Amino acid sequence: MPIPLLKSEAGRRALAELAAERELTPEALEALLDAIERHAGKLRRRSLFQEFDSILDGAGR
Amino acid sequence: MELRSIILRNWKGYRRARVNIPSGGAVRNVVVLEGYNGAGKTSLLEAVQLCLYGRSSLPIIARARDSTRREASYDEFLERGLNVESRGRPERISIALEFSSQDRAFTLERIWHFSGSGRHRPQDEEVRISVGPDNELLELPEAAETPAFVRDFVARELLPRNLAPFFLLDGEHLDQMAVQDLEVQVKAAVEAVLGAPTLKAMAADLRDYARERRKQIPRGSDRATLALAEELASLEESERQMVAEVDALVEALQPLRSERDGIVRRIGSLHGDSYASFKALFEDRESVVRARESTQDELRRLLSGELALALSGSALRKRAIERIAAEERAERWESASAASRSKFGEFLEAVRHSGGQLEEELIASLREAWDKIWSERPEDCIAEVRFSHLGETDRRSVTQHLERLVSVRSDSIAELAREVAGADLRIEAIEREIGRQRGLDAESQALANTLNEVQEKIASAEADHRSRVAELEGLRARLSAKRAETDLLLTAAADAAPVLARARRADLYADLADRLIDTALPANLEGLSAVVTGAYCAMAHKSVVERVRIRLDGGVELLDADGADIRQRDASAGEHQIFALSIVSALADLAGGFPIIMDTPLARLDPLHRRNVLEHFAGRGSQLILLTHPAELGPVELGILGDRLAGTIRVGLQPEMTPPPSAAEGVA
Repeated sequence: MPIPLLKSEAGRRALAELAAERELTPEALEALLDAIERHAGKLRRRSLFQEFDSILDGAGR
Repeated sequence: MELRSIILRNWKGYRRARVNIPSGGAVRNVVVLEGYNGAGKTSLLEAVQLCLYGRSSLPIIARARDSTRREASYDEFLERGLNVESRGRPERISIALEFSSQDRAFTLERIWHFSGSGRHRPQDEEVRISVGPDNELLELPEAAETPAFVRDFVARELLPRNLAPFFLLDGEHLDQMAVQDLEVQVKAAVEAVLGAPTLKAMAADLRDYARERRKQIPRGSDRATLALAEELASLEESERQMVAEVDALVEALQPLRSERDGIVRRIGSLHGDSYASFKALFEDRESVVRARESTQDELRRLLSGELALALSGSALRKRAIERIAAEERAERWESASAASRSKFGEFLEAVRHSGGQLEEELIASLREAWDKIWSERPEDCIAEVRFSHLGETDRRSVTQHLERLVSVRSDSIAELAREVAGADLRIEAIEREIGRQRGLDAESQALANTLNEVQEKIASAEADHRSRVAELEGLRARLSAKRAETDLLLTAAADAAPVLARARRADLYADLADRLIDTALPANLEGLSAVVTGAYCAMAHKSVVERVRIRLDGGVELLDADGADIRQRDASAGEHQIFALSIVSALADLAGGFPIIMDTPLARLDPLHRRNVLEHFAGRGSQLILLTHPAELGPVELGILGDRLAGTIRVGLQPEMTPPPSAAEGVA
């Protein structure tokens, strides 16, 4: 679920441009945000970081 | 999400009370909690604020200040809030809020314990969260981590703290909100409503992640690999040079040997002896000379440096050798274990990629099994490595040295000296026999002298050759060990490479999130400004405002047709209130979900503004809870609410005002 900032046209455009400049992918950023949302309030970081491992594999240069 | 009940114990005037709030969905979305002054309406609003945000609620609670407007401390505020009749003995305040929506239900309860003297200490606070239709109690983390957990839970499921001033409103102070600290509150609220805190949290988590993953890589391994590679290249170059020198020595020996053979042949022919027997004598002499030199070298080495070490005792040397071997095993295990951990990470990823679900407990079990199979610590693996400065080559060299010394004893030195003396005697005997065979004439003498010179050259060249070959062997042993060491490091580096790549990407995505906030937030303000403009125009009856503009710093401007900010002019308290309510409405539209609770929202508004505000907020369709004085909502206002009204509940602390059990079960 993207945050409201990224639901707007301006937000989506900004994300696409900034990600392209850095050779990253908007999809990976949204997946990272989803992971953050799912783990919100959970203090044990291990499972969040393991999810990061999986998302960041091949998520850009 | 609807607020379904407020359950109080010992909170201000309420000894025990349960206020049930009727649910009317999106159609009948307005609930009125009605009471006279002092009936406890504001105490209900404060209870909601306090229960949701605990200590963080203090800045948004208007009455959390004393008569001199000084901010009260949290503990002082709570101590003042403890019901008067409950003071003087160990007691507790508890506030519980029940929420439900179509698919979710949960109860948030906060409990504050007090000593007999009515004191509250920071650690005497409890939070309970129960979820689902069966009120299953949520397992909370340890006490120190509970506040952060609850804060995140409330922000995710209900309302982020930054938005609370716009949803939990004290109407008495709304006009002040419009003129005091509005920028700060609007900025925080706008960021919250657009999800900027989530992006910030993500950036912080990604940076933590990158730091943690980099810590897993052995420190300085890149530098170590580079240094090893340079050392290896240098050793390989030395080997090439040494091989060339050894080859050159072999080539130089060949003509000398041919010359010697020619002289020997001529001497043999002069005296009629067979060439074969003369040559055999020479070869015998050479052999004895070489053996003597070798023995002499060994004796010199022992006497010059190693005798003391050799005499140190075999038991001590044996222990040193065993220690070095044990440390080598430990380091190999550490290295293999690190590689195994990395492989385990890859294994987990592969399982996830294929759609497997892995719970924490399962991961822990898998990790344990994995370690047991692939990298269980051997029993003979020591825990502490004392000589970590020794590389593999150094270990091998020291071990070989010590092993060689095992055979060295004082009597072996005497034996070597005897061997040298015996070789000298044997050489003398052979030379006498050679002299006898080659004769004493001038030609023979000349040939003999030449032969001696050639023989010395050969002996010298052969000694050089032996020495260089020994050096070459040593160099090759070091090379072999360095190559093994390099392989190990390169393997570890290859395992580390994906980890480092992920850590670098995490930093890049964290930077992207930061930039995204800077770039996308201003762009979103235009849309938000348009919503505020719509809300303002719907509620305000002055038509001079053309549009509302929210700036990046949270500042809000009410612009007339000429673009001038009319907020700079004098405005009435009621106009300030309308302005604040338009921001509330816009943020509520964007944030959605959570009920708006307003305490005496209409008191300062003229009848037209009252109508507009009620129509506007009631028409939003999400739960609106109005805490009002009976005089605020007369027949006209109730008529405006019409079918939107789900119910009116009387709130009262005095016995005659206690609401009926069906609506509010209050015991004052």
